[in-house]
Amino acid sequence: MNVRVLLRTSALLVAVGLIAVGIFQPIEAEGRWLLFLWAAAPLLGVAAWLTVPPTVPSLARNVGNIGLVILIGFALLSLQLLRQQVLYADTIYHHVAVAADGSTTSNVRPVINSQRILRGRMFDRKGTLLADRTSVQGFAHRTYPIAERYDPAIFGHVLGFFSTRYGQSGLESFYNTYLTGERGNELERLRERLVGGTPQGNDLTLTLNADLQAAASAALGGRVGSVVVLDPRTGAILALVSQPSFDPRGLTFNPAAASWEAENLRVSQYWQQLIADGSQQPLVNRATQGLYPPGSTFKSLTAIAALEYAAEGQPDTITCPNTFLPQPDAPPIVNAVPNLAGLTGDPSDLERVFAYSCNTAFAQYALRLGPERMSEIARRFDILPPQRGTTNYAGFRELPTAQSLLYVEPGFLNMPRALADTGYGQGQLLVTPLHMALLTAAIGNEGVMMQPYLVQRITRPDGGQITSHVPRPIRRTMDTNTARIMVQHMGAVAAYGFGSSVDNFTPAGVTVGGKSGTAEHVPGARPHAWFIALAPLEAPRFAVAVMVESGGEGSSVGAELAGRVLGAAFATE
Amino acid sequence: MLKRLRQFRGIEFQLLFTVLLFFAAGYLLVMVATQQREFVATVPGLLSILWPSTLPLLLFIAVSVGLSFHSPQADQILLPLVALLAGLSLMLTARLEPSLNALYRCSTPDGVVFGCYEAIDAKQSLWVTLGVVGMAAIIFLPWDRILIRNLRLSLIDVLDHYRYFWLASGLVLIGATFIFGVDPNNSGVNLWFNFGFFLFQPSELLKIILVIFMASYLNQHREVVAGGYQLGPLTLPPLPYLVPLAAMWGIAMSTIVFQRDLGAALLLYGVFLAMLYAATGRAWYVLAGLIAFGGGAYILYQLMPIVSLRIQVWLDPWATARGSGYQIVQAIYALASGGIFGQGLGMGVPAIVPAIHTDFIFTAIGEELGLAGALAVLIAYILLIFRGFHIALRIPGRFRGFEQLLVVGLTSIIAVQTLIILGGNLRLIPLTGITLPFISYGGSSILINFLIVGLLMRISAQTGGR
Repeated sequence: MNVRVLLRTSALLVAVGLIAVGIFQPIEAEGRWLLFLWAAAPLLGVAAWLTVPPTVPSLARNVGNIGLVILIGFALLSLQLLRQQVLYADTIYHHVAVAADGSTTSNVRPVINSQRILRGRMFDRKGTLLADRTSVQGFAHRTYPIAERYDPAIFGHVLGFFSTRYGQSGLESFYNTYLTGERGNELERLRERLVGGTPQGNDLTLTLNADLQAAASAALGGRVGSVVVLDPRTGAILALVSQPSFDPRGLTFNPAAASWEAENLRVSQYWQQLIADGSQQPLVNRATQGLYPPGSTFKSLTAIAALEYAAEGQPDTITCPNTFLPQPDAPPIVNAVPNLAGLTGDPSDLERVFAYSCNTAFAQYALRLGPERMSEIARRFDILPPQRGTTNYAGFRELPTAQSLLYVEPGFLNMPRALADTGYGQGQLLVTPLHMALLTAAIGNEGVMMQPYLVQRITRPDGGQITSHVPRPIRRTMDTNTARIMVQHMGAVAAYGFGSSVDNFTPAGVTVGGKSGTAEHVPGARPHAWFIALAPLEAPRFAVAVMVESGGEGSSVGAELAGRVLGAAFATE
Repeated sequence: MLKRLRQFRGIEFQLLFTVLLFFAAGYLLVMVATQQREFVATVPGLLSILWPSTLPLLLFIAVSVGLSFHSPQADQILLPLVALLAGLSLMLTARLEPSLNALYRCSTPDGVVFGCYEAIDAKQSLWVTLGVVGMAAIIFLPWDRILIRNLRLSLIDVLDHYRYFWLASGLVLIGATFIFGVDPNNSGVNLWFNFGFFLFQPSELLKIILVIFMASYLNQHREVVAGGYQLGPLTLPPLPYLVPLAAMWGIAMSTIVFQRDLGAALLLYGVFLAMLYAATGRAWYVLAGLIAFGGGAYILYQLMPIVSLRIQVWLDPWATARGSGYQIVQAIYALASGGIFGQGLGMGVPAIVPAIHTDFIFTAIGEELGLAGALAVLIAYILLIFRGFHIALRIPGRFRGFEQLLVVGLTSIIAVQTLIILGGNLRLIPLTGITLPFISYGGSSILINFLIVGLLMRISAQTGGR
């Protein structure tokens, strides 16, 4: 009798164990779960059979055993239902199967559901309607009323596209749950689920200024590059342009079209065109994802380091020789302009070497400070050594980003020549335009770097507010005094240095500051043109970073572009 | 009069009335959710939606009242369970009809386009109505008196006595399928008879005939002393069991080979094994039968592309999600979207699963009624099956062994068929195309299942007690 109990218990335990382990197998290992389940089935049978006291064969016993087998069958069905409908329901719901020939299969329900929902609208900071929606025979359709005034492609990277076929990008993607009403509107969704009705999403109010965005895009013209305008006091993104861009209408399926087949073809052709080789990757947001050497704009960070560590940096004890040899076995560093000492004076000071962008001077600062202090200051601005796993910039998540890097190869800064190159913005530095705008904004905000953001407010369809962004500092990056000195030095650039054309487009009486950058990227190619700018200097309201890929001289091309953007910022404020 | 009142089948009546309310509420919900009919919240408005659809359910109640007079002793749980499942069937057909018609468009040769599944709800109502009428005919007609007058045997005795006649007619039926069979839905096999106004699937009838024969045969050979044949190291079952075992195995295998009907083969064989065990109580016969079936299936897997395809789709449907695995992959998505409480009747998109109204109707339940609804249906089947076994065990005495085995066999048909199709739907076993008893759309299946219930009710009426 004891043997029976022991056998029964162990059979039951093993069966339950098999099921418990099997039911949590991932859906890719469905075969293993089925194996475990079928292995557990006879064990369950044995356990049940041992539970019933043995009797002589009779119809009642036989039928009872048949019933037992049938019960176990139904138990297996129930367990499988539990797994498919509860435990792994979400995973299966979103599962995308890729066949051997590369074709994919996914659930049509999310697509159908997304077409039932009237996605929320998007407004700019002045209330201009950027993205709207209509309903065509029960199918929701994203429209872009801004098209009456500007090309919607100007807003493509910020708004993103919404496609039933190719997914979402930009704010459409990051705020998807709010735009569909899944979040922020739970009561209403519950009511719709119970009594029906067309679900309506929540509206976004952006920090973007549509007029400034359009003006910045126009100033960039057909060139490949980015413009970022921030409010240094809050971190609000006023403009964020990346070119080339895409027209979100091109990827939006229009249910009102006469032929759905032709409409599908139009969408897929536009998609193919966007992802084609040689299309210059219009789906990449260069302002937040483009990693470039920052050139001389980075001298502002070296200058900050020299001011913060004044004892080691000796900011106002500096020379600007024509060549400087940091490492005997490496070629010397030269200035972009010969005989720069004639302009900076010899000996010079930080303001003048900054205004005239003297490479050899900033190479010396970097060597004086050493790799640790340079790294430490860069870290304050979230410009980091190469990290494992982190490829996105954690400080800004509303759009896809890339993490800016101080260098790429481990130990790079330990070589004096490499450290010196980094000091004036070359080396292995890789920085996004957004990041240079953040650094500029931090200088303009007395040293406090604010978290950048694009969405100011999320409101329900009835106008009730769900969330509102409260400006958040990332951290204090420098002493208030350092920031004040840096503002003065940037002012000197506009006043008499390289890049003085930056204040040609701003209203009279507005003081402007900035720093140019001319970044070498591929030997022999035209350099990238950079410019960062701040205005008005007394109390900065605009921090600008512009960059034109292979655009030429930062002090001319970059300064003019930044100047035009600043001018538009004041004109459209 | 007082006696009549005492005989009133109150439990059955109450349960049937509950089912009627359940059906009415569900049917109204479906009509509103799928916007087939304008919902007018007045008594005539509700009745205009409900009227012809509730007819089968009202017939159930009529049968129940009739039973109070005719055979008050008959089982009171069986009918409400069947009514519940049949009502669910009508509700789901009504819900799926507009979705199927919107998705699948057929056209006449002159170019008139229409939905391929028009009026399936009305047709299903007709089948259920006919099914209830047929069931009533089995219960209420004085078969015993008619047959005794003509053949000097009661209905049960006719079934028992003329076993070889039934076997022969079954074989004729199989043969006729090969000659007269048609293939209306291009499945590649001729499994149907075309009677002009409706298509009949003879394998549905075949399973009842075989159960009658096996019950009679096994009952006759019940007392065989287990000796067994020595074949080398193997001990084979005694001849009276070995012969039908081998014959059934042969029938199952040839059904797969010649008709490519894996579902029917598995069903017939499964029911046979259940009856063999009920008659002999020897598990190792069943085990030997299963091993023989597994071995045969393995050889067929190597030889027949349709078998190997079914197995591959079962093991990895995702690999061929756009081809042969499409149906099961869509079913997996449908179930997953159901969650615990489902999308709600009319709120899901079950129609993209091919054969959703027949083989895959359980998936529609899973999607729109969720785990809760799916488990409720499973429980209804378990109760129905156990009620059938209960009837078998209520039959007294050793002289009614045929009836006992017959009831076990008929109940096993429902049980095994449910397990096979649900196992296929839920990917526990390879998918085979058979119907879910009482719920799937389809005339032959509904009629035969009601025939089974009629027989069960009739036998239970003669056993007495509750």
